[in-house]
Parts: sequence; structure tokens; C-alpha cells
Amino acid sequence: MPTPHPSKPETVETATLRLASDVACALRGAGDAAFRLEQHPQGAEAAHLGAVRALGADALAPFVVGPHTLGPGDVALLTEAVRAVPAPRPLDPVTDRLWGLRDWALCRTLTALGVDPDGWDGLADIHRYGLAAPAPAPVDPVQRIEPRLADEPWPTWTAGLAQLSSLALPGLHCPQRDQARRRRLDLGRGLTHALLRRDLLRAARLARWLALDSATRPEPLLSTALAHIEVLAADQPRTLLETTLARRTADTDRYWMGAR
Amino acid sequence: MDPLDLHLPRQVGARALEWLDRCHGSLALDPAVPWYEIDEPSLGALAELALAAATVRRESVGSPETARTADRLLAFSWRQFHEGELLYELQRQTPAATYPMEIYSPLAALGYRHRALDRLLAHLSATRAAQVPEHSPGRRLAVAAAARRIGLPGHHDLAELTRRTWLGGVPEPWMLDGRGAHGVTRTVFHLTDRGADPAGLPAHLQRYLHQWLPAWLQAFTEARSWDLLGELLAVGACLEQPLFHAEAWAALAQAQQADGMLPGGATRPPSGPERAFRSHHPTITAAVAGTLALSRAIGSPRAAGVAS
Repeated sequence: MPTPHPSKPETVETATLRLASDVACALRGAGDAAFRLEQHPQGAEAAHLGAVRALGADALAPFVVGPHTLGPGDVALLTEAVRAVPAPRPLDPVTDRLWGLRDWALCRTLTALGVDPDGWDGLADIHRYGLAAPAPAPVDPVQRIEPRLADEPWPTWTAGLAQLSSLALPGLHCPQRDQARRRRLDLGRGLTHALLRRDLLRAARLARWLALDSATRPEPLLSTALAHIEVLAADQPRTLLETTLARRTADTDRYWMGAR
Repeated sequence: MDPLDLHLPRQVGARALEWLDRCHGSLALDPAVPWYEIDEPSLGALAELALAAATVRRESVGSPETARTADRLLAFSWRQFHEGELLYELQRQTPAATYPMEIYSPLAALGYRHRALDRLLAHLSATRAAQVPEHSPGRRLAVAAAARRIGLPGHHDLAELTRRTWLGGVPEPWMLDGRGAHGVTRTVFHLTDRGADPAGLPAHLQRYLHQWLPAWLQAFTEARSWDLLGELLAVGACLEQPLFHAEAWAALAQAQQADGMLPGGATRPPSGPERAFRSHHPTITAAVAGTLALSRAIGSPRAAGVAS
């Protein structure tokens, strides 16, 4: 549900907070209006396009784990956002990896929603990584941009995983998800460490990875952690979007377990 | 723990002990002050010194020089306590207090005994009052541990007392703060007699610490809280399957000054009567933590090396 917008042009930061808040509202089923990326008062303003790009695959969450239907206008706006805020030319391995993985999540989510992102301007190295190939690709391209060690120490591993929380959507399967399924205790340590450092956003992002596959690998502290983060982060829309997604992810996981 | 990493606990512990050896004279009690006017920080600092030296002596993992230093510090403390006479006088004048007995206990365990004090403590520990002290559960665990060391009969429900401590409540691990961390260290030290009896800590608390101690060590390493970090490293060394943290040891070694003193942390200790004690405490902690880590690494083939 769109919230009132200020009269001055927004910065990308405030637009991102607003969009995060709207996505979270849509996921919680608050309001009766259909969620529309295109229906934002700012329309195709640069700040809004930047916000859509900042949330990445999470901007599509209401269509994936929520009750909303992706429309042609949403796709058009997303195409415009990717073009307006393209992935940077290859910079350094760390940045390239982040853009590559996040755009991989975006493309996979679009594909799952019946949209072919092949040929979109601004996606990170989409052809180089073969992301346009229909799933399942012979070798999942995500493997090629994930050269990191599986036994990386938990502090750096969880710090890196938190930056990739938009890959923690229920429909996506990637090496990070396999690692997160195996390393539950390390995830819990990372979450604890983040909370001790008062880094609520990082804690919430790690909670999403704990929520994923929680039906088969439950973490008893997850619901307590989510409640704790939500109370402390009452004024932080981005953190609250992550906790909302964590809750929806856990619910979805339970639903699929029941359906099996 | 990787043998190559062992040199850090060894080095930190040995240097801390050397510093204590050089500076222990500053902990001497003023002979002009009568026993009833000795302040608590002065007594506390001496007690901590005796406890650290007793731990080093008990574990006997350092060099012969380390053992000699520990003996020197023990003898110094014992002399400061007037071969137990001072502790006896304090206990006699304040029969309901437990601190003279607690200070006495590590010395008594190593054979520094005062016969009249032993008789007095045997009597006091049998009183009804001794069963109902107005103490926190953690304090009661300390008294129970002291009684065990001296060889006094215990009438404490350790399981119930443990359950009522912070650690015993197995709280959400992110709720740890400095006070909670201090409580954790005391519960573990008292139940395991500072690593002498690792099985004294219930199995479910061993598991809990194996789960969350790495996250706490990481946070306290980043916060540069050297005193608490040293204490938590000692806690890891008290577990049945000892837990080491190479990165925390490296940070502690780096924070240690060339002369062996370990500062308290990023913030300066507050001035005032506690200052003298506080400035010694991280170094005393480092001596104990280094000793226990080394001892458990050598003595326990099951030691769990935790990279970070």
C-alpha cells in the first residue's frame, strides 16, 4: 500500500525505506489494494527506480510469497530500473560477485514469475554467467561466481551471507542455501554476534537464512530472535522488511513441507 | 588447538606472571593499617594474586621458572595474610562473612593451612546460618567451591543454585552483557574449580557454551574488552572439551604491553579506590587464562580447535 510521499524529490535512501515499508505491508496483507511496483506516486522517478534496484529480488517478494500478481506495468518499471541503475562495469571481485549473485536472484525470480529477463540492459554480466539459460542450466551459473570456500570461518561467512539475503527467497536454490542448511549453528552465532553489535539489519538478514528450510532444519531461537529484532528495529523499515520476509519464508517452508 | 597456536597462551600467561612478579610488592598491605581498617580492594587484589598463583602452581605446565615465580607469589600472599592469622582474625570478628574463607581456600588447597582458622571454619560451616546466607546464587556457588577446596562438608543444592544463575537459565545468547558475562565466568569457575574438575559443569551447560561462547569471544575481541575476553578464554579452557579461539588469543597477545601488563580495554578504568585492583585484574586474568589454556591443550587430546 503506497504511503504518502513528500513534496520534495526523494533521495534513493528514503525511497528505498518507503518501498521496503510498502513491500512489507503487502507481504503482511495489510490494506486491500493490489501491490504494484508501477503504482508508486513517484512513478518512474530516479529515486524510485534506485529503490527498486536496491531491493533487488525482494521487490518482487509480494508476487512470490505474497498474494499479489505481477503485471506488465511492474515488469516495464523493473526493466526501466535495471537500465537506469546498471550493474557497474567489472570493478573488483567482491563487488562483481555481489552484483552477479543479486542479479542472479532477480533473474531467477523473474523467470519463476514467467518473465524472461534475457536481453535486459543493465543486468550484471548476465550473458557471461549464462543467466539467461532456462533453468535448470547444465551447470548452475551461480556455481561459477561462487568460488568461496565452504568451510570459511563463521564470522566472515555470515557477514558475506547477510549481504546476499535477497537470495534467501523460498523459490531459489543456490550453494549459499545449501551451506546455510548445513551450518545452522554458525548462522545462529552470526545472528547472535550481530545482535551483540547492535547490527539489527545484519541480524534480520541472517534470520532469513535461518527461516529458509526451517521446516526440516528448525532453529529453536528463530522466532525469539525475530520478535527481539522487530521490537528493537521498530523504526527501521529495511530491517522490518527482512524480518517480515523471514516470517513469510518460514510459513512458506512449512506450507511446502505440508504439501509434500 | 594447533601446536603452533599454543605459544600465544604460553607467552601471554608467562609474561603476565612475570609482570605480577615484578609488581607484586605494590600489593603489599600497609603494616601501619590495623586489620579492621584494611580496605576491600587491597584485600581483593591480594586474594586474586593468590588465586592466580595457586592456579599456575596447581597446573604445573609452565617452565621451572614459572613454578618458582608462582611459589614466590604464593609465599608473598601468605606472608601478607600473616600466615593465615589475618584471615583468622577477620573470620573471627565477622563470623557470618564468607570472604576470609574464600580467600583462604586456594591457599589451603595447596597446603598453606592455619589450624585455628580450620577449626573455626569447621564450626561455622555447620551452623544453620551457613545454610541460609542472603547471597545471590552465584555467590553461594563461590562459597560452596571454597568449602570444597578446604575440605569442609557441603550442604548446598548445587543443581538448584546453578539453575538460578544467568548461565543456568540458558538465556538468549544475544542478551549477554558485561554483568552477565561476569556471572557466566563465575558459575563456570566455581563449578569446575577453575578447570580442575571440568565435569563439574552440567552437560547441558557445556553444550550451551560450545554453541555460544565463540560468538561472545568474537564480540568481546572486537570490543577490545581484554579483561572479560581473558576471563571468557579461561571459561573455554574449563570445559570438558576445551574450546580455544586463536583469533582472541592473538588479539590478547597484541594488546599485552611489552612489560607483560594487560590493559583493561579501550576505556580507562575509573579512578577511585577500586583503581589499583582493577589495573591489576586483567593481568591476573591473563596469567590464569594462559595457564589453563596451555594445560588443557596439553592434557586434553580432545581439545576443540575453534578457528574463530
